[in-house]
Amino acid sequence: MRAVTRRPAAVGLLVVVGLVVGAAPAVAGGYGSVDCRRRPGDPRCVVTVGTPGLGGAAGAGGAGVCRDGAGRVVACYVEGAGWFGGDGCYYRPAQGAVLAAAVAVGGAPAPPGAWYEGVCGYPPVAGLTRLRVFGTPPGPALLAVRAVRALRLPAPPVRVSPGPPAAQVVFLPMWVWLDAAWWSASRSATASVPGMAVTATARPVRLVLSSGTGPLVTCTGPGTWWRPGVDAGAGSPTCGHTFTRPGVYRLQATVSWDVSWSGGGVAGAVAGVTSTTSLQVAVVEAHAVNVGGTR
Amino acid sequence: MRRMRERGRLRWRRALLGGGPGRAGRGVVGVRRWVVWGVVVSVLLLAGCASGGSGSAPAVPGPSLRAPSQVVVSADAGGRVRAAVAAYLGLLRAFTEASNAGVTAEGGGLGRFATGSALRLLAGGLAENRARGVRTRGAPVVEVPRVVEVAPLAVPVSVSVVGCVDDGGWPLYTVAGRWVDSGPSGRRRTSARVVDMGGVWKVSELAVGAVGTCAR
Repeated sequence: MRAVTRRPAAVGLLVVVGLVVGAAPAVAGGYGSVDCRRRPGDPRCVVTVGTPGLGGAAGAGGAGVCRDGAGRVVACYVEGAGWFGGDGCYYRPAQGAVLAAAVAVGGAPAPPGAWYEGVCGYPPVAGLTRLRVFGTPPGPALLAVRAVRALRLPAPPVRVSPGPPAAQVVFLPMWVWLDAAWWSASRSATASVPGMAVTATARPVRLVLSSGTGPLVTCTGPGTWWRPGVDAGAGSPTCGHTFTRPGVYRLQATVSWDVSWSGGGVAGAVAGVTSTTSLQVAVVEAHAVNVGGTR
Repeated sequence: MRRMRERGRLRWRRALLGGGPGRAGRGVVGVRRWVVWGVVVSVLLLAGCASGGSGSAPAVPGPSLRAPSQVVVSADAGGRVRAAVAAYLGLLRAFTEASNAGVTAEGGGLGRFATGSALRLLAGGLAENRARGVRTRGAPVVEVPRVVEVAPLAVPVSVSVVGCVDDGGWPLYTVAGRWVDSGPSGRRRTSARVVDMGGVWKVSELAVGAVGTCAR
């Protein structure tokens, strides 16, 4: 039901290693190397999100940081504790005796799940270990959410021929297309903290033009652009529709995106991502159009 | 008949509108947000093909502050987790019987197995069934759930589980015996948090998903 593709942990289009800070003494026991409440601007307290060509932007508010249940900024990673699990606790893979105890009391997780051990609070309080199953490790997962969110896929600039304000004519094929450069443009975003980056990539896979009653045409590519001089009666070889009844049609052009991400040694995909444009097309009878020639 | 159909989704309707297990400090997230973020997060959580987290620690140099794991697990930790799972199964069994008999949550003894928002969820569904004069027949197939969270490890007081419920063989009928169309039925994903209430394990949060949400 949900598209899951395994990709090799490849080099992302934009890999942000960030500032690898040298050994810093713990500010207070258990914070790891930085107390994000005292130094919220520290690169280790901020998820840097960037898209190629637009430069990096430190998300100092909202999606660019990790927050606890009360909305306060916390580190996304604490040494000795692990990655923020979104529930106020930090997790690292359960190993050794802890893993054995987890399997003994909770059973073996269904793949790809694995047991993680966690401690809660900021700074995390040692001693009250908890166990939780994660399908995707929490570090890459929290970066993947932010990278995917940063993609901001644009609405498709659909073109039709004849172009508005000219009307379509019944039984005369309408060509539908998207600019080929727009279709094949590289779209990616990277979310990172010092030491780990996850890159999300999107590419369009399908364009569907639909009216209120359902899809009119489905194209698996950008279509073919119409040039003057093409036979008016010829339909688009790749993407088009012929109306058989006049009227004003309110259409939706929806592009479906294949979104995948990788980083931190794992990869994943997000299904069901679309972007949509509305357009209105007037269709008239042939005798209403002053068409020269024999058609 | 149409009126019956619109009001017919009474077995899980309340459950579908309820929130998912919340996280400490945040309570139960509201309806739409749980549905949207639950889908997004669960897609991402399910989408990763992770080995047991190898290579996920960032390469930050410096002295390791990693304390050795002190594993102190009480002898009955396993028994407590089993009691939590039993409470989840017991609750769904009690809910089934109460729904078939057309009684309230109190009449069905759901308070033994549920508390808080989970109890309110199912009590609301039973009350609505009674008000509409409909009852279920048969029983859903409730799979033994998987444990996904145990806290704290030493002496667990909170256990979260996820599982599957198939309500295909659990139709709705009017008291007079006429079948009611209650919408799609089939395998649904469930998630629940079960907590130790002074020695008795009760489900405090419960969510039942739409048909098709249970990935095998």
